[in-house]
Amino acid sequence: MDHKSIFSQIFKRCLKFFFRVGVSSFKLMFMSFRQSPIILILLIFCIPIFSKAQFFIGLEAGANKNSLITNNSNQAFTTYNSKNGISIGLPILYEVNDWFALRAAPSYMQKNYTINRTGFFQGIYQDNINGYVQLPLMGQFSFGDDQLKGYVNLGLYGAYWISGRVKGAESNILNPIDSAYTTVTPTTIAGENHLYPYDEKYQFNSIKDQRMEFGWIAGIGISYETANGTRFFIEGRRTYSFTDQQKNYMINQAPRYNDTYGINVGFLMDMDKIFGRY
Amino acid sequence: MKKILFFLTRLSILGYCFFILINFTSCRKDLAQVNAPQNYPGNNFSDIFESFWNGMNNNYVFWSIDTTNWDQVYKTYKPLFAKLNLLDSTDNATAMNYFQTMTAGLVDSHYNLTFTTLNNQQFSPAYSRKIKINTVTPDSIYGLPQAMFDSLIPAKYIDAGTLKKGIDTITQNGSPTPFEAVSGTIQNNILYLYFSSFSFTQSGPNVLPVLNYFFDTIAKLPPTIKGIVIDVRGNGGGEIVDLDYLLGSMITKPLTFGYTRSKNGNGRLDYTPWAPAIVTPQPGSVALTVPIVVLADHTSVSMSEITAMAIKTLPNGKFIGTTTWGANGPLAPSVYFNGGQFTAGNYVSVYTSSTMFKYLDGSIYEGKGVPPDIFVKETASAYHFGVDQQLEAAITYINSH
Repeated sequence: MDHKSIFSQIFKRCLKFFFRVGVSSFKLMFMSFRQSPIILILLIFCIPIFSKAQFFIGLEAGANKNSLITNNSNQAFTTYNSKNGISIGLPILYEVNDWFALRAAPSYMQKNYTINRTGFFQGIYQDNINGYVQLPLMGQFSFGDDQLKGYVNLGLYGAYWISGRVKGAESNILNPIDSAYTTVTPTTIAGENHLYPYDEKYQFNSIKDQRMEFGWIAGIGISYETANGTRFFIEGRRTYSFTDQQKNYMINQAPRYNDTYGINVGFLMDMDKIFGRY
Repeated sequence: MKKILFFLTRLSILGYCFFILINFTSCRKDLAQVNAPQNYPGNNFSDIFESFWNGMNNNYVFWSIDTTNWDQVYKTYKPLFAKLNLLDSTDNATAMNYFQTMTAGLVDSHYNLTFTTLNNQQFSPAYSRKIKINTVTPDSIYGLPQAMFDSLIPAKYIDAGTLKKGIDTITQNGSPTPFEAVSGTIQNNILYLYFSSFSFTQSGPNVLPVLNYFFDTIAKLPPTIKGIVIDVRGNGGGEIVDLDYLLGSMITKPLTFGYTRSKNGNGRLDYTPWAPAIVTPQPGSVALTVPIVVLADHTSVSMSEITAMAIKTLPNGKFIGTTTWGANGPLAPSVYFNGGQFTAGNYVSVYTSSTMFKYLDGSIYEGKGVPPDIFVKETASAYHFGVDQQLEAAITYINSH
């Protein structure tokens, strides 16, 4: 395979990916509007504000660390730990004036976590790799000079849990170690039962899984604008879900919330400078 | 002045935003404490009910297939338990009745309640159901008499010179229990093994020679042997590792015959992926090609049923008898799988499976029982005439293959 066809395939895959992210974002936006028509009304009223706005579009990518906030105090030798993930998005910026802008960033974001067994049960774990399509809508407050700016983002987001993968090892009760307790005294669970390693797609359960997620998002960052109007930025971000990852399907349910810290880098291109004032 | 106003405007917008975010933060539900059921003090019936209900809510492994509406149980029985007095004997009897009604429809056929403060009285939903079915079936035997294995089979079916029989006393659930095994050949061409429970590792001077005879014969199977009969009728189950000793001597490649899964969270529907249930070949094992028949019936429980399913999976395996008890989920202490058995408020001990079992074809037989390949029923009248209909069906099957 020559370089051209490799690049062409990469380009096609990227295009396909962003198309899916875009479609999912629009679906998400539609669902948000359906659930809260007030958001749509506010947006319509805001249109005149944007009439003089500068319009930026770009690309961002980053890494994050997500924690699942829940209560499992009844479970012995079991901890929920945070896990790293990635995010990629298409930031869109409407700059109303030199200090205020509206920012949206349809993105794909992982919100991962790990369940670990400890003590005698060490070796049993499950990595939960959860992919979300997320649409944050933020207000951006900037300070600094024309080239180097600091800014703070604050807003809300809606997300849809589009994929899940579970990877780990579990104790396999019907695959025992035959020598356990007859010739060998096990020091860990792996000496008693063979551990079953797995790495498979998570099967969503429509009774249990709440795939829509809403929350707030806040970020702080700096950006640098080059002469041709391209802004490079680096931003620390926190997304804080206030919807349970589970539907309310049982009494005395311990809720589960995603809480994610991340760092993103990216660029924004001034569409006016590229395409001229529209 | 203009600059100050400008600065204040920005600051107030930021302030409003933070105010809104802080308010949204409080949108989260409280992360209420989840307590292990054994940690409830159990000083009154409200506390005992809470510990029992929550223990079941978090530990019971069959919520994905069980039809009991556990939320409705909470709504119905919480106020009823609140009216009861722990110091009143009539109220204790009422409470026991409530526990039985709440759990009567549970699919877990290992399920058993022991009321520790009420002279260890017990209740098994599966047993109650089976007894009812049995009483409406004419000419049925609920459980085969022990004399079937002690006398009838050794005297009538086993070739006299080959009979090996022994009984040891072992400890099961803290109590001394007889452990019996019978082996020998039938019509000089069928190797037969009966054992009363899966307790091979506890076998003593009387049972061990019986097992050694059977496994030694398997290891050097005479060409005259045309088939094997493994009899687990009336066998209540036992140690998991025995399955490897038993079937692992007859195969040379690992045998996957089903899957298990356990809870991996507090939610009723939080499960691990399905892990394959595997029989591991033993050192010196041989790949048997002759028919292997397992005899099991409606009183074959737990490991007996798992053994029947493993044998069904073999290309030369056949299950003859009646549908088994339906308790297929293996058990372990609750700490192993964060699920299964527990004690509620020091009042009632709950014996329940730690894992759910699924047969190789995807069927879950919990609460239903494993259906035989060839249905043959034991009747009271046949037994009184000294006939073991199921064993005779096995002999006929082997002789015709």
